Amino acid sequence: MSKQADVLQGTLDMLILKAVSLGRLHGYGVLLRIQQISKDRLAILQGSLYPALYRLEHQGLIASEWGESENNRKAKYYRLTPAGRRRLEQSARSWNEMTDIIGTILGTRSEEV
Amino acid sequence: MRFAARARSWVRAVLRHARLQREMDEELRFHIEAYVDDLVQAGVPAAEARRRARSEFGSVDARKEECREALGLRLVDELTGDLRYAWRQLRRSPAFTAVAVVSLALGIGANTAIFSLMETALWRSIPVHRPEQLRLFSWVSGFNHGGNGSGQINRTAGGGYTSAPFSYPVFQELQRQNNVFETVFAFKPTGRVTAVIDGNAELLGSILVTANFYKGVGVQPALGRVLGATDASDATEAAAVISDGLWARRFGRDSSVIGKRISVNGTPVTIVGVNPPEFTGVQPGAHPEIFLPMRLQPIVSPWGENASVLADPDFWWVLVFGRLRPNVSTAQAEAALDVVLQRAVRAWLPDRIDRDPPRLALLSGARGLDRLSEDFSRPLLVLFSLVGVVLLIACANVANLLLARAATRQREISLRRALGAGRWRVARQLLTEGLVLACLGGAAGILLGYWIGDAIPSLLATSWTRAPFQAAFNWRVVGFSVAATTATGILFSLAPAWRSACIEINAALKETGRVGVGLPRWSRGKPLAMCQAALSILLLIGAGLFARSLWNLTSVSLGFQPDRVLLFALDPPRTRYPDAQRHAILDQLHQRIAAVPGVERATLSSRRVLGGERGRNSVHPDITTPPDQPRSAWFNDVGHDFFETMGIPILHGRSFNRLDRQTSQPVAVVNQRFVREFFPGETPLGEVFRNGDRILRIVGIVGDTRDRDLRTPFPPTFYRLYLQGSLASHGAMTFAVRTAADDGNVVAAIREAVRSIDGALPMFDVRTQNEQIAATVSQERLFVTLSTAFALLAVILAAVGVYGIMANTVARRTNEIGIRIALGARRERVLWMILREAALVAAIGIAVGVAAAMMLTRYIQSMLFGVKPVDPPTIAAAVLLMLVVALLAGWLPARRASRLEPMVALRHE
Repeated sequence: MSKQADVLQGTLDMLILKAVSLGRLHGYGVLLRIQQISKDRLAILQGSLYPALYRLEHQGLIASEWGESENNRKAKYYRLTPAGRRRLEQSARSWNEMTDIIGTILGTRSEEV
Repeated sequence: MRFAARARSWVRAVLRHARLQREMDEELRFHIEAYVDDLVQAGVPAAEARRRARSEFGSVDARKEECREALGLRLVDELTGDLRYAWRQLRRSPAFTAVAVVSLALGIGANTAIFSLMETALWRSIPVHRPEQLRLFSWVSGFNHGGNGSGQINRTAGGGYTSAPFSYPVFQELQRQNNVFETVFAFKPTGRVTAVIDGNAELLGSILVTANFYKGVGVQPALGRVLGATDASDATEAAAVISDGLWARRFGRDSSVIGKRISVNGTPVTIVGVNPPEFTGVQPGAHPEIFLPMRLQPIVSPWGENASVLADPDFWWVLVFGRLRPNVSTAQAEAALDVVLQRAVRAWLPDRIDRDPPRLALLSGARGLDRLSEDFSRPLLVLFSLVGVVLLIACANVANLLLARAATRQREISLRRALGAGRWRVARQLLTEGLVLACLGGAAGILLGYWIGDAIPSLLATSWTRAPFQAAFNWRVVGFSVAATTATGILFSLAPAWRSACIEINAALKETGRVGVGLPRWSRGKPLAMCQAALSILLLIGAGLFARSLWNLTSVSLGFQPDRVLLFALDPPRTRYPDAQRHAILDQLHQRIAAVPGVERATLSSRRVLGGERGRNSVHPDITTPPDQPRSAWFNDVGHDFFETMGIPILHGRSFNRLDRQTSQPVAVVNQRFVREFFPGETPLGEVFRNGDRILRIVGIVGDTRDRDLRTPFPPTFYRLYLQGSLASHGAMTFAVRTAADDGNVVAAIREAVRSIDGALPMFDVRTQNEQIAATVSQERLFVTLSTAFALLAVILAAVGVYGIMANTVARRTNEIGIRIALGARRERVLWMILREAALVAAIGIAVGVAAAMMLTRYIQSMLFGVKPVDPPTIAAAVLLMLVVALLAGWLPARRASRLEPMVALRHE
């Protein structure tokens, strides 16, 4: 496997929200979708996924229901709630802002100061 | 909103515990299986795929725990863990658990029982609709209340009088002119009436009620109808509503009781309804069985010359309730109706210039006509304090046991702390154990309290009277017990929990199982044993004072001979025996009963001797001038042979004899106190005095006797011959019979004799004079019984406490004692060393206890008799008993210490 980046502290929640915002997913599906979108460049520790899902559900940001998986097995599916959507937009905004600022800082050359 | 979502999710997780577990399992399993499938499809061998999936996922149990934590379940999980652990710990030491649970159950049970009694006797509202809206009418007047009537009158602080009853016309006026109450209604408890049901005569507790009474209290009948406006008219036959109790007892809950005709004091009455079971009237503790319309007053409870007092504006007897309108304050209502009262008094009672006009006062009606709280508030508060002390002792006992156990668990606790558990976490674990113990004890205690609640008032009942009240077991009582349980649980876990927090981990782990080293001295439980001794001495002194009071009471001189005297009551109804016929039937009964074989002498009296009744009547020794100030003495209307039957010595003159008749000059027999008070320095044989409108000539002087109860000193008393009394008199007469031997056959023979004269005349309240006397001290006896039982319990618990502490000390000091003995200490000295320590613990406790007792006993002064609150002999006896018990408890471990083999002791750990 190629070298993967670890998920930054505190961004897992945002990634999960983003993943389920594209359509309902089961836990394994969330993992796959993040890997797929990131083209396998991002690794999520499988163990930390579920506590994060439970925490988000506990906060009312995602909701769960039982359904059938692609290969006809019972699986628990998560989808975004309106509160989750608001949270996702807010997190994405502040993330973009932050990366913009940090990118600006990091891209600064000495003659620009 | 976020908070609401979390709360919802949390509650769901807690309540659907099993489902959450299952779903979590399923979800995680799905994840692993899906991953395995993907790996297999990617060409990994199945076994290798499974292994890799598992290892990448990590421990499923750890993941699950993290998930539960994410749901905010950590506290719940820890608590369940603690509870499970606590339960295992308790199961592992059944003896400890049993002792702790039993002592807590006794403590909490006693508290629950007393609280359930306080609930009925002091707090619970009467069972009517919205009782808080009811107001009881009463009046307050100056010294000259000038009233005639029936009902309890109390002195006010200002020297005046206050009482609840009104005259019927005044009540009607208050009712008519009221615009502040929704309803104004009246009633009168009228004691027992003779009812004949299906040919059998029996006595029923009765109450007279006005037509709007049921509307006023807002009670619906369980069967039939209640009394209403139609029942006020004399045109129809009188109707009655019976209690649920009578319906069950006498009619087996048969609905055909509606329309049944019975006779009440010889007058036909139709039963039209049955009260619901919860409605027992408007007087706590009283359970009238038959509710009759007010117009039956002349039949149910005749007063005065023409029996009826319904039209008499100056006979104050009827009790008035009002249901306050919403938005009207009590003060407004009082002001409005006071005007009506003043007008009525002025209009109808103009000739009484010696009367201080009564003012209207509204009292709370939520407890109805409440005599219970007045009589029982102090005794119950004292009992409540006693059981509170018992609970504290039980607490100290359990705390002691827990401390001893915590000492042996010190290594375990140190290990937990060393492995990373915080102080608070360990303390919480110990607190949980305490609460589990408290809950077990509390549950047992609530059951115990439920069982014994009614046993306490039934100690006040006699064969001829029922208990003054019954325990109420409701949510408030249970709430109190649960609160007491929780409080005790926390209280007795505090010491061990605190101690666990103080442990020095390193020191404790290095210790090789030896207990209690490195701890502050105070935490080894001696203060608890001192507390127990102090509280025990408090209870011992209390019990001693009560016992001495009872002893003093039962050994006061009575002034008469109570042995072999049998008492019973007969009440010939005035409807069947009007005027002179009443005297005739009583005299006939008297003579027939006196002739029964086995009866030595017989007599009768209007008032029971030592029956707890008050009865005073005016006395003016100077008959020529009008009285300038009211003077009165106790009186009793008695029959022939009264002094001879009761064994009261005749000192001068004669007793009543057959020559004293209705037509001859009214005579009186007086006692010595009477002479001393009204004819000081004389022997007033042949003298006369004024008693109301009668002039009585003194024909005899007799010895003093106790009258109302054993506490009251000999009262000045005069005796009148009932045959010379008013023809309008009424009420039951108490017959007294001196029998040749103590045997029950006489009762049957007397019953037969009464039946031969009138078959519809029930003979009731049969008891001996000694039983009657015992009944007057039943409350004192109750206190002796309970306080002695509590004190003994306390002493036993304290002894266990002292024993535990000393046994612990000896175990801890085994090495040291071994060295002392090895170095040549004499065994007696070792024995004394340990005993001295036990005695010191007891002595400090005793000193504190005695000091507390000396401060507290004055609150029970009014319940004592012939003994001061600080009574040196009682204190000395209590101290001695406590000291002996403590030394005995200390002696066992002390002897063990003195018999230690030095070599064994030195090798000890």
